[in-house]
Amino acid sequence: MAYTILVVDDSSIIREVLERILHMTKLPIDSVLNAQHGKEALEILRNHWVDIVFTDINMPEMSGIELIEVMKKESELMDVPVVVISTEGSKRRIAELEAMGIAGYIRKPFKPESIRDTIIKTLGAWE
Amino acid sequence: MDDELKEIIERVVVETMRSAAYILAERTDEGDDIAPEIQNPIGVSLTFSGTPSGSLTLWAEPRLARIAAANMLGIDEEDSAAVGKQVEALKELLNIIVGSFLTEAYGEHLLFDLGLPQQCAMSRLEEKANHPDTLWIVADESPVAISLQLHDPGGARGMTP
Repeated sequence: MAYTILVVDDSSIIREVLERILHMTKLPIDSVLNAQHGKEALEILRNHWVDIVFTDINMPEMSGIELIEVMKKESELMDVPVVVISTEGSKRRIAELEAMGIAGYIRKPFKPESIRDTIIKTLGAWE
Repeated sequence: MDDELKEIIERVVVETMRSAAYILAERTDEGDDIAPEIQNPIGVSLTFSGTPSGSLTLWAEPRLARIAAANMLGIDEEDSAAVGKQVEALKELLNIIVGSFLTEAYGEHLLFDLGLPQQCAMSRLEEKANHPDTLWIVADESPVAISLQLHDPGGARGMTP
């Protein structure tokens, strides 16, 4: 089984960096989809099978927090794991996100290993 | 701006340049000397709201922005993709700098809302270049200017939850 991953970030450079890291992890990744903000992400999520979402918080149109709120209300999306990648270091913000049911929080700047470890922790390990 | 805030900003900028863009940077007290040397700088600004609210603006030369983009993407700095992403690279560096600065300066328990990084006019650097609150960093032999504006400087320094 290979995974489909959705990357949501308004920064095109971060989307490219993440896609490159994901392909370097040597994990069984089928495809990496990407969206510039929450609205685009929802469109993709409603039309494609996605195994895990990596999302930024601060984005135009729809923020990462609004995206998670909508996903948690939709029965077909509520169980898709969401990992937040953000520059914010506030413990209150992280606690709020954890209460919303996120699968993980990675602070920028991130190391490639943290992306790989989070996928393994969230989706399970394999040989 | 008090000396402690200046020190935090300088430390955060140097550390972010190193960890996010693999660029060696160091603070300098020679801002007056290097300010006129900055060539066609790209300026990016990010607002934050909370206690305090304000904005941080960073100016860097296109060459440094291109190196940052190339290093972040793992490509050659002459690659056209690096040129195309140079402003994006600066915006992302600023995003990380502001996130780290707010946490270091005001603690992990306060909540800030960050805006979206915006490119700003070069004329704003001309206004700020010699202001005592404008900090200068040398990154890969290229001058970088940073200006912090606080709307309520008393803010929440030292507050605990």
